Amino acid sequence: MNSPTPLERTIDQVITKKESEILTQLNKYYIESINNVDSSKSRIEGEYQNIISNAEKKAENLKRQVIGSSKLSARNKELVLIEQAVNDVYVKAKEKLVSYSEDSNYKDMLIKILDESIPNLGSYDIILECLKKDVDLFKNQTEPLGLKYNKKIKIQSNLKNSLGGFKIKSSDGSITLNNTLDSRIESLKPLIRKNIAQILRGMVN
Amino acid sequence: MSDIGSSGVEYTKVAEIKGPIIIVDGITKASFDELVEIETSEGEKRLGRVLEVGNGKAVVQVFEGTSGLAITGTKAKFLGKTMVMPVSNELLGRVFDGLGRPNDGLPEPIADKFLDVNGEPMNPERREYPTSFIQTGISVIDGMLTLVRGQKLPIFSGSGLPHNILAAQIARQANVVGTNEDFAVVFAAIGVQYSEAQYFKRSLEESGALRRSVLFLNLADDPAIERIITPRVALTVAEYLAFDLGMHVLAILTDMTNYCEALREISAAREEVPGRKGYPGYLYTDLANNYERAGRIKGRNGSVTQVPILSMPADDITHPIADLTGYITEGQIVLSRELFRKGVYPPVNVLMSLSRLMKDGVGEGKTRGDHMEVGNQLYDAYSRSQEVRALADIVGRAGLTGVDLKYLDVGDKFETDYLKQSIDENRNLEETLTRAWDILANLPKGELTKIKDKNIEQYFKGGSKPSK
Amino acid sequence: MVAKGKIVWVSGPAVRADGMSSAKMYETVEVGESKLIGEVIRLTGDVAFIQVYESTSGLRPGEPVVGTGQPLSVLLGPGIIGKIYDGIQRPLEEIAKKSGAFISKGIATTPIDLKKKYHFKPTLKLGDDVKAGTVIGTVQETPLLTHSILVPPDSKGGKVIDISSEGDFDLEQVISTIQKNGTKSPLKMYHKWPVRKPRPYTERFDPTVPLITGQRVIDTYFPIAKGGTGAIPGGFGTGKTVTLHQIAKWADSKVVVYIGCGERGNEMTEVLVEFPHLIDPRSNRPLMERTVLVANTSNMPVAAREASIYTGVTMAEYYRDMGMDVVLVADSTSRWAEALREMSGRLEEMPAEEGYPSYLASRLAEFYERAGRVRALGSPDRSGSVTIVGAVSPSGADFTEPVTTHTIRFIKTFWALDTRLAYSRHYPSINWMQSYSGYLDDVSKWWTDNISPNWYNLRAESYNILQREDTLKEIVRLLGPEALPDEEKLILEMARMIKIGILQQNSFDKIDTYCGPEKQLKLVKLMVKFYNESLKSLKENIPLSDIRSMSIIPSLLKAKFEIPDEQVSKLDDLESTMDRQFNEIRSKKEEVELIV
Repeated sequence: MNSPTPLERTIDQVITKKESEILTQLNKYYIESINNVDSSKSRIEGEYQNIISNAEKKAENLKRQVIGSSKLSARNKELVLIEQAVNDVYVKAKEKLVSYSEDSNYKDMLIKILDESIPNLGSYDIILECLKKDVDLFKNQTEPLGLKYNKKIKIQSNLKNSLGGFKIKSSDGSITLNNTLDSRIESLKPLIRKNIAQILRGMVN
Repeated sequence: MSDIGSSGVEYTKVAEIKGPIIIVDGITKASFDELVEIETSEGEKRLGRVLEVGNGKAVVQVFEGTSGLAITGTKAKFLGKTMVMPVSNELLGRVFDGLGRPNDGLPEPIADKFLDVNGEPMNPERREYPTSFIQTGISVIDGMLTLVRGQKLPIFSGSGLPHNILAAQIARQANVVGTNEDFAVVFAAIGVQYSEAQYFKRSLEESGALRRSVLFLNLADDPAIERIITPRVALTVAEYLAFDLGMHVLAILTDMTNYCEALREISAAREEVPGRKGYPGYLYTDLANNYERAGRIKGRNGSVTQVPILSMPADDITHPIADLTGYITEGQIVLSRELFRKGVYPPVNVLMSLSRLMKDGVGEGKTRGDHMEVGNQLYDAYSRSQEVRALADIVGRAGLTGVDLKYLDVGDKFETDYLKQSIDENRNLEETLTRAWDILANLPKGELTKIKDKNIEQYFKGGSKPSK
Repeated sequence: MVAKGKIVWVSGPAVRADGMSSAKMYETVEVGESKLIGEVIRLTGDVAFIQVYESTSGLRPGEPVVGTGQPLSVLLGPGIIGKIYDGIQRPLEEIAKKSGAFISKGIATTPIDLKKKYHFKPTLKLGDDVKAGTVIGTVQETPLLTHSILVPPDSKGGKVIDISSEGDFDLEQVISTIQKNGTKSPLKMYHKWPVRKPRPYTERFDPTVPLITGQRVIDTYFPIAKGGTGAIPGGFGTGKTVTLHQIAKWADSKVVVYIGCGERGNEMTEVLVEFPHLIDPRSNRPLMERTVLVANTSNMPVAAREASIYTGVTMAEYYRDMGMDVVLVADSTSRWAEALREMSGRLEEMPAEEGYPSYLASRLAEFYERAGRVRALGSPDRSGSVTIVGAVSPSGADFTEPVTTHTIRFIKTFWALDTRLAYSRHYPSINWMQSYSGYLDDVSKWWTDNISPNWYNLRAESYNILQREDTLKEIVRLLGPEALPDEEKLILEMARMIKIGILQQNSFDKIDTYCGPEKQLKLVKLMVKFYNESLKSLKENIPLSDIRSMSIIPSLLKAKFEIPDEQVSKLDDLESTMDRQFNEIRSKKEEVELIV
């Protein structure tokens, strides 16, 4: 048997070396690919879990949102209904007040308010505006009150579109006190609404 | 004249209009702080209030501004009362404008009470000291800047930073562990953009909390002077919900900087002697009148916890608004532009932040015995890491000692594993504390000088070798 | 004749009224229909300028103003201790009883319960000659505090013609009558004193006894003397209030007056909640039994804030006059100055720096001048002191602003709080390079006599390390710590240890919150010894790393909270352990050398 030539030996060596190199490489790739599969499997699983839990979270949120907003809109509808009822009552109440304006208590109150209002006007000359039907009522008061506060009060019966009461003005019109029933009721409106709502709710419950 | 039902005295002599102020002449009856209804010659009605009255003149600030008002033809009706807010439980789920008027197309609320929007100072003798821990689910807050019920803890931010996102996350997640009591959110938008207010509203809607919320919106294009009232009406409602109805209220006021600017505008128009940066000398007192409307009351159930938000002009914490706020509130959460740029959310600058009431809300029997110490140690470690980081920038890592290098590492881990969390991530306290100990495990045991030995034995996971 | 006028102008807390020609300067007046309390602060013709101590919302020109003929005064007698007052001595508890959890306006109250009976023991007898300030007798105000009943300081004195024998009396009963030149003056157990007028005394002394606060950085490094003055300026978050609370809690004075002036409501509540449960380490009684609170929080009317420090200091002087050491803590004088500024602005006075009135400095000086150690009026011979500690809240933590700069001129101890230290949670954040004490030499005798003759030197040696570190820090900033020779690295290490082990003190830790003088001294001694031993070892060529890894170091740093005052001898054990460990590293070194 011929011993191999040095050249052959070298080639042989190179081949063996390459062979083992390739084998290790292959082995490495193999392990890597297994790892890859494993990791991507777990990644996919993780992502899947994520999607599920996200969806669950979203569903939970959606549920809360839907329940929350439907309760809220139901409540809001109730608010609108109550408001309508309150307004109906308010308008009717206001109409009834017209008859009240013939009451003697009411008249006493008007005079008391007039007494308190006059000092707030700076000028000597004062204009009082009222309904035609009330002119007589105020006429009796202008003199004593004028004396009391050193003012000259002039009555004008030009108050229109009003339930009653009066307005007084300084002669130059720079200061006005609006004591018409309408304006007093308007400023009481929040309180009146509260009372009406309480009564209405009491009737419902 | 009986006060209720009086419709007030109307004057037509306007002597002067300047900035947001009108001066009415020929006054015979007007009181300080009185509400005024102003009517333009076109019949448009606006609200105002008396800032000064005397010698026949009244100085009136007009909330909706004076544009379009004329010396002649303007009427000012003095309503004989101070500004009130109608309150009742049906305010929940409603949206109002900056002056407390309905803004959601629904009717004016039917009041249970009418409360003066200025409120009255809470008697310190009747305050209940705040001690209940609120879990926000945000590690940096729960672990190191704990919020407690009845506290006022502002967020100091800058333009473009995610303060509203953070506040919304707090509002969604905040709860007191182990309780199931009534809570409510009062949100006051003060001169913020529509989109920001909308974000907040949506966030409440999505968490189903909108029906437990009351919103007051003064947006960027709404009248500026109205902003002076917005926090006041919001806090009036918050106090009512808390102390009359027994709810735990979280009040979020954003952005207080806009509020202060409105105050400055009024002050300038009145030609007052300005304090720093043109803000009035009484800015501290004025802010305190809002911020102090937080707390708890002895023998009553509810609480008002306040989270005011303010953007610091030029990110300057010494700016008067931030400075005075910090003197009044019980700590501050400072947001950092640098962390924000690095992509860290929430970008809380821990070193500049503080919760003064943390010490009273945590510990054995309330949260966990090591809570405070771990918070302090983490703070200490992060503080040291920042010093080392600055040093490393100059001398390089080679100039650092072994321990210093460990701190550098701890600093990085703190930012990525503790501080950073996602917008919808709700961590419980246990998890927050575990994360803290995981970070501290990277330090030699001997470095933990803020923690008692028994807690180190129980929780420390790192090596036991003392520092070298 | 009392003045009766009418409001002509209202702007916030400022009111002008005419028809007031018979009003006196600083007279208390009732303003408006709801009778708000106000004080005349300027008179021009018949127009009085009034600062109103309650909310003026709803007040209107035309409403009446009525004088009381009296200057703004406090009621002084037993029953003050343990109370919480507003800025004009109205008890907040009484206000709460009348108006609930929120403070309404126009509420009238009596500062002390005049119907409460006290057990009176006379110290005078018939025929005694008495002067203003003389002690008539005593009552037990709290278990901790024996209250001396004094002849009012503005009395002309006289002969005792009537004196009650021992027994129970309420405050409205006459307990003694004195007579001079035929005029009889009945005396009760209380009297009134105007707040803006310092109470008189016989003689003033130099302060020489330190006020022991149990705070290491204060007592050891920057002490304050009883009767002295000190200021704590600091930006927000630097722990001013916590430091003041610590002083109020642990100072070895007989009485503490705590003024919350324009600060947070919860802070006053905290004191109210905490003090009844905290036990004074010296008397073993609750701290509330020696404390008075004056609370005018930031949201309470601004004018009453201005008055609150005078109300507080007058009560402090009253207890001083009984021969007691009193500490007065004012948080914060800046808010008081702002109240002054606001009133001045409304008066349309010419402003000085940053809008503050030009008399800011003189007002500050007057206030701090009311501190001091004095011999009281009358007999028996007794001396007492008022120590004033004021917080300053400089805007933007800028110490060059007017309130800080003026305050510095009138105080002798300066505890500068440092935002940077606070940001690194070094509490109390008292900056050891910026702070100073003008009482160091005055109090060193006390330390030498009572604690240790080495105090002065130990303090100086440890402080020297801190100073050297301060200069080295610059080099470290440029070159890094590794560039330094071992001896200088040791300085850095030592400074770190002193900072952690001594300067930093956790007021929320049960043990660390108070550190008695003996423990303070021993801790300093341990540190100084550790330094000297280390230096010696370095010279013997023992590597610094061996020293750094000594297990004694964490023990030294934790001794402050692991070893309570009662077990102070454990610090001596620690010292022996330290000696042993140094011997060990030295012998290890020798072994290594032998092997080599």
